[in-house]
Amino acid sequence: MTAGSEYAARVRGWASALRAGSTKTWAEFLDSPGTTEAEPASSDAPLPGAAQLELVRRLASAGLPEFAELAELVLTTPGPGRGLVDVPLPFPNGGARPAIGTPPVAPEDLPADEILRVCAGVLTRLLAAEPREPAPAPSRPWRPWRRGFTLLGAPTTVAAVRAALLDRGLREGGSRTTYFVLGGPLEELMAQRWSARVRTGAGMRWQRMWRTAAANDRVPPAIAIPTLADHLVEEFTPERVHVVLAADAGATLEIVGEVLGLSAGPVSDRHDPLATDLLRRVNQVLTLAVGEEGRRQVVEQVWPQIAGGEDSGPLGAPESQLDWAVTAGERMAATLSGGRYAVHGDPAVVVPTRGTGVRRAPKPDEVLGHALVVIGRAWQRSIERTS
Amino acid sequence: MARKVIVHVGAPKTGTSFVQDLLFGSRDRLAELGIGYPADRFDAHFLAALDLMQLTWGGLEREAVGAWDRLAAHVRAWPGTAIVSHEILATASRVQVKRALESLTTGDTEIHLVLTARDLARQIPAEWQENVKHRRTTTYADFLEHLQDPTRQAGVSSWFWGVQEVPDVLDRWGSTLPRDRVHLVTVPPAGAPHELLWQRFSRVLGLDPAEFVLEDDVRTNASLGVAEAAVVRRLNEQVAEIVPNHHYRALVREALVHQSLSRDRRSARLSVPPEVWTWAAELSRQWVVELAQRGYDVVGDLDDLLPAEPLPFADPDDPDVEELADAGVRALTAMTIEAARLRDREVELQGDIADLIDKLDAAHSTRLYKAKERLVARAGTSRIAAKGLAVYRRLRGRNSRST
Repeated sequence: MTAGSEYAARVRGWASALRAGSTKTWAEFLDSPGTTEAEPASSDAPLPGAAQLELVRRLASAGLPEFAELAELVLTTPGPGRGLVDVPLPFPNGGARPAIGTPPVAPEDLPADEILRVCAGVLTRLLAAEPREPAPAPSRPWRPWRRGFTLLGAPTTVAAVRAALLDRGLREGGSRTTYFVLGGPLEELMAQRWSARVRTGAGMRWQRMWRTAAANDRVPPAIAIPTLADHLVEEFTPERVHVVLAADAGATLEIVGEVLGLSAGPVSDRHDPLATDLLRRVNQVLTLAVGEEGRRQVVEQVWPQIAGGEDSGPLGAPESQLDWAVTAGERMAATLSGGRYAVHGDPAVVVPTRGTGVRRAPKPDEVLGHALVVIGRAWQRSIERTS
Repeated sequence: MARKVIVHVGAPKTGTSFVQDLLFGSRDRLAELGIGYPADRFDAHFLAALDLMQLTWGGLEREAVGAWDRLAAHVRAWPGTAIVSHEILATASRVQVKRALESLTTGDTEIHLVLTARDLARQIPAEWQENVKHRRTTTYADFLEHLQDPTRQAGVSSWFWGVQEVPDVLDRWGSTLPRDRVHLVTVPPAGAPHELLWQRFSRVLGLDPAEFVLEDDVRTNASLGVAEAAVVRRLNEQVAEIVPNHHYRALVREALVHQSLSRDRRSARLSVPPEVWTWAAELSRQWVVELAQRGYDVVGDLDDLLPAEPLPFADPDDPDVEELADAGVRALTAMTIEAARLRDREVELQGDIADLIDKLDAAHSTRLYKAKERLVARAGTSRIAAKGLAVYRRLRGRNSRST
């Protein structure tokens, strides 16, 4: 047996062990008694790469049903996009490929970004198999006697407050609507805008969004609270325009409720930087697989069910844009203080605080941890659908 | 006789645009000879490659949905020899290669793999320049350091070696094919006749190169000089975060680089520093030894892959100030001319808009339309008018585009 065929047989042997649920690392597998006899190559399929094998190993401890099938799906999924090509495993005496091709890497030492590439490919395959139907148009009963509201500003907060107000029977829009521009800490506004943009298909990183904003010296228009409020005042009357500045969605709903004269129930904040960072990696691959309309349907209907519930907390401005963030926040606060509209809450809440211990970008290792959970849920759905 | 499919997978910066333009422009003549180059647009195979490898490319990938399967279906349906060609295919992984080759094959298909390759000492500066033309800001020194990083995890190193490591590309694409169906076409040394590459490539296709006229306007990625590349890289530092991709492509890559600076190169040709030349030459020697052992069909000479004597090195990170200033003024001139052209276009479009507004005004001057307008205006202040309008709209239905 040549070094190359011995290497191939060992890799296939490890892949078999992983399919059966083993969590041994490659080095542990090679050292284990009973694996010294190399398994013969049984397939003409290409050897799986280090990233695919490592992803299977990390998924093995989740206790997922039909794990061998999931493992096979992972092992046959190429890492989409740019990155290391077919990473081989380290092998005594150099194995088959001593000097040419991607250098070997111990799978557990691979950068998280490399394993996340495979996660994006796996999730795309699972999501592409989901049944897709056009989302039903939201029902908007004709209730002209109900008080109307229109919300703009922080996208995630807008969605939470809108749902709460509709639950209480209020009417969205209409000729006598009251306009609310929902604001808050600039970093939270940016995080919500990033999340919203990624859900609509963007692939931009958190850091890139800040770099672009700082280079243009401009907060993205959709969350430029004073500009939104100014436009409304020009279009309608100042009495109908309210800017709400609060640190979280619950406080925001409370203020909106006071203005509308109703008692507000609790709403919870949603921080989703890990899911957002994962989705930005999945987005373009998914679009290539199912088209833009298919991607939109999957992200609206399936993604919230498999990617929610992370326990990650808020994101701060990246260190290199923090000075600009503070300046932009102070400018926004000053403009809000002099606006021709009602401002509820302290404009100073907008300004970033330079706090220490703040997560200033999603860490790839944490995103990978969340990706394992999301793949597990997507796989469960796939099993339930086919059983 | 078995059907033949010729899959040309790169490498980038080896004259592939030239070959693809020639194939695209000669589709009818090729079809008469029984050779299919299935493409309804010049970049059809590029989009197919993006789809196959699930690659993003500044938003262009949105046009690539299903492109590989469509291309493969055309290839399978073609009764004679079919050609697939794009240089980014070089970086496909083994799983992607397997999918690609299986999708191009019917029962009796003979797959031939073609890689055009050029010596590393010319490829390295050419790839850096390509990066600069794609809005990157990496300095030449950092780029060279990244390439020599043994882990291949820095900067664009993984991409560079994915497309440029000739023995590995041929192994990934050709390991399941008979050796005589793996064709390595070497790019002639600098100074060789322009036609020589096409002559070598057409030999693989079994064509008479003289039958195909080399038009003057086929795309060739003309090179930037040291000072011109330095200007574009520094420009990238200023605009990369501000100018969206589609504007960058039109203004910087097309108007500035392709239409101006690369057509009027006045500064030294980009090369590699002496220590990098030594490293690249040694690596190339190892490749040539490896390739000679593999028994591929080499069209040209493996020695073409050994770097020629080094050119004098001029550093694009520290260019001659006068040359830099000259290139900067030429860049400003080119962009001013482009801005003037766009201003002319804007004035023209404003004229078109004014004409359309006149037509719209004429359509809106009817009595019925004015009555509807009055109702909509009153609905903002009168509850009764608002109710009336709401009733009207409910009766009319949601999809009407009328007032």
